Amino acid sequence: MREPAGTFSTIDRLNVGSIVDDCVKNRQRGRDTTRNRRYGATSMHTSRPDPNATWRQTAEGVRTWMAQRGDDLEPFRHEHPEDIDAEFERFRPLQRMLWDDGWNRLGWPVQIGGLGGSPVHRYVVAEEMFRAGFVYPHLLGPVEIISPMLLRYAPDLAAEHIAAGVRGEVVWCQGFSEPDAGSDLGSLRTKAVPDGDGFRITGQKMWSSNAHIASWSCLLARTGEPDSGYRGLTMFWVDLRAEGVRVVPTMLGHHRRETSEIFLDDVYVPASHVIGEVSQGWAVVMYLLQFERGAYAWGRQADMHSQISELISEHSAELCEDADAVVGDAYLAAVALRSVARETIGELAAGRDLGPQISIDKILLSTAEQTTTEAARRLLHPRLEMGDPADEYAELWRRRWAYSRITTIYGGAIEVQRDLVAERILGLPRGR
Amino acid sequence: MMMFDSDELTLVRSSLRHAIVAHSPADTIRALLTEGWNDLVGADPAAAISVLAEEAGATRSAAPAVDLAVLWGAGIAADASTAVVHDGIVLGGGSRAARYVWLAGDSVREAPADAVALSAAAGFDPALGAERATIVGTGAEIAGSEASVRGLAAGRRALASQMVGASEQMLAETVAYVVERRQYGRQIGSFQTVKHRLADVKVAVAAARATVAAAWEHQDSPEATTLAIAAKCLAGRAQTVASTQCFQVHGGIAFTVEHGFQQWVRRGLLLDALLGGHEPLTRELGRRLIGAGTVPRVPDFHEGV
Repeated sequence: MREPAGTFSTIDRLNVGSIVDDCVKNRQRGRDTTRNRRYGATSMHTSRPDPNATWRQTAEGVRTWMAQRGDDLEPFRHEHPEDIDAEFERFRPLQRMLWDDGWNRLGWPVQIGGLGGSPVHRYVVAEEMFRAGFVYPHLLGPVEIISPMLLRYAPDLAAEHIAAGVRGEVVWCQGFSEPDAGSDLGSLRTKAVPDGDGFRITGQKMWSSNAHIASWSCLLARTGEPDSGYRGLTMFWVDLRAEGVRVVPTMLGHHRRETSEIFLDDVYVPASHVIGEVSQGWAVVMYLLQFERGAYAWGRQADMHSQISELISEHSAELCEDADAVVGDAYLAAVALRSVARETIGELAAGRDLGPQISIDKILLSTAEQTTTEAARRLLHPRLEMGDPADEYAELWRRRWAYSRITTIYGGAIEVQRDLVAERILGLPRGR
Repeated sequence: MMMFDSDELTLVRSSLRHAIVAHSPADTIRALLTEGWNDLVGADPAAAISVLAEEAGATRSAAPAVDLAVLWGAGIAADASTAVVHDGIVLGGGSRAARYVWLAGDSVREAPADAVALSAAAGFDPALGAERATIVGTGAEIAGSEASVRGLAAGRRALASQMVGASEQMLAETVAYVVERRQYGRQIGSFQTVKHRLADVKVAVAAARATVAAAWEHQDSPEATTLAIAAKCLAGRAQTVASTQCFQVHGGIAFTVEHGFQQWVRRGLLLDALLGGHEPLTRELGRRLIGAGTVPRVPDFHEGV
């Protein structure tokens, strides 16, 4: 990307190109070009994140930034078939760089160290990085999902923790499922009993993604009677380094210790670490799940578009016989997810709760994950089924394929989502 | 983005529905033109064409909404005596046309009625009044390749909306049925299998609807054709899921002529087949993407949200 002396710099050239591009597009649409011209003029000399910018301006800004940071970003161009702790360590410097240069401070409130503005800026940044062939840090996923809940239900905890999470100083996890309560959160048994100015939590969590490298967990426990169902749950912010916590990772079928069991034995949690009110945990977790299906879905579709593009560009010579149908199918899943997620994110960014509509996004997300990995398996056949284990690209797809099998299970099984769509959107009779 | 606000849209929807149900298919275009279709489509083509097509779908009308969409897309003024030939097929009332227009890929062409021979092509759905048009000669060019491409994309978006409208109506009728119908001492809509079949319909329709909106937004972009194909594929799949699942949970009653649900299945097959069925179009989509070596990242966020 280096230019010889005496010519346009890369930055200038990019922006001149984009201004022309904008004018042409706007003329076609017969619209006013003032806004884009203004940006073009100011951006000649800078590529700083601006919370008041349009999405297009943020996209152009981050592209310029990536060009400027070219060499620094090069290590983050590829995913490797590695375990989750190694991946986290590898991408931490990128999380830090995105914070220091401000792109990941966009959309977080100024009070917690952000630059303000809409969170949509961050989704635009993530997409531009995927478009340019980089891997957006996976460990920002839990931060994007958990932070809105902290901002809404625990502003003090939000102020204390969000910046550290975004910068990659610590990892967070969710502590919801239990051995006897998977999608059925109303059956949770982990108990929290009052003790002085706080609570003591005892029980066992399971399937907690990233827990063995996490410092904090937002964890649901029962503060009501054992039969209190959804009503007796409370959300806590639990220090996983506290006395009485033991975290045991589970090696999963894609050869990554993606999830862990969390054993809690009389773990003290101060009252200031209650997220929302005592016994309002159900409302709190429902709020959180919208972001698991909104912001997270946007990041996933951006990655899927990159994955399909990579398959049909860099591997076009080896595609299977019926590649047209397979690629068409994968693209349809991705474009449907993108079109729906875009509307969902618009609603969430406007502060509206989506209620049961969000189950539609979750179903589209999980089926798109499986369609994409199945497309890769078929396109590269027989490289995944019978290929050399040392073939890193095939091994990466084997892991993605294996992991995609549980996308219709985690975060609320697809059967539960279908029940919700049928009962709460279509109005069919409740219960089974 | 649509130009009308939601109140205006409701008004547009009810007047278009009225124009469709109050007239025979052949007279619908005449009625729409009298009531200001050209002004409406000029003000907000996405809303006008999508709503007209959804209403045609929901009412299972034979009104040729797709004809108006193709003509608008190709930049050709609609009139009551013009019919569009779609891959050799003319829809409801076409036999009364004085002029036939078709998209030839490299051009848009026309021929007078005396150069066109019509034959029966009712197929699965006689109610739609489809006829096969055999054109003598090559007709006369009235617009170029860009008009043809834009006309095809507009027609596909309209058919997608028509299938979305039909699928939503099938779903609504079926929800009403499974809530009322009792077997084994309970509403059949309380069985999880029935719920899941109908939930899948809802998800497929939501995906198609969102993608049709995206396709309209990108009607002037280089991705217009790709998105129009994607929208039609997703809507074609949605109508397949809807007609299959809704038919199944109705049980045998849906197969009687008196009940009429089987008419949805017939209509769905024909709408999907017009301008490319979802299976061949999925392959075409893949072929286009592989040829380009990349997949487009569209739609973008609406500015300001």
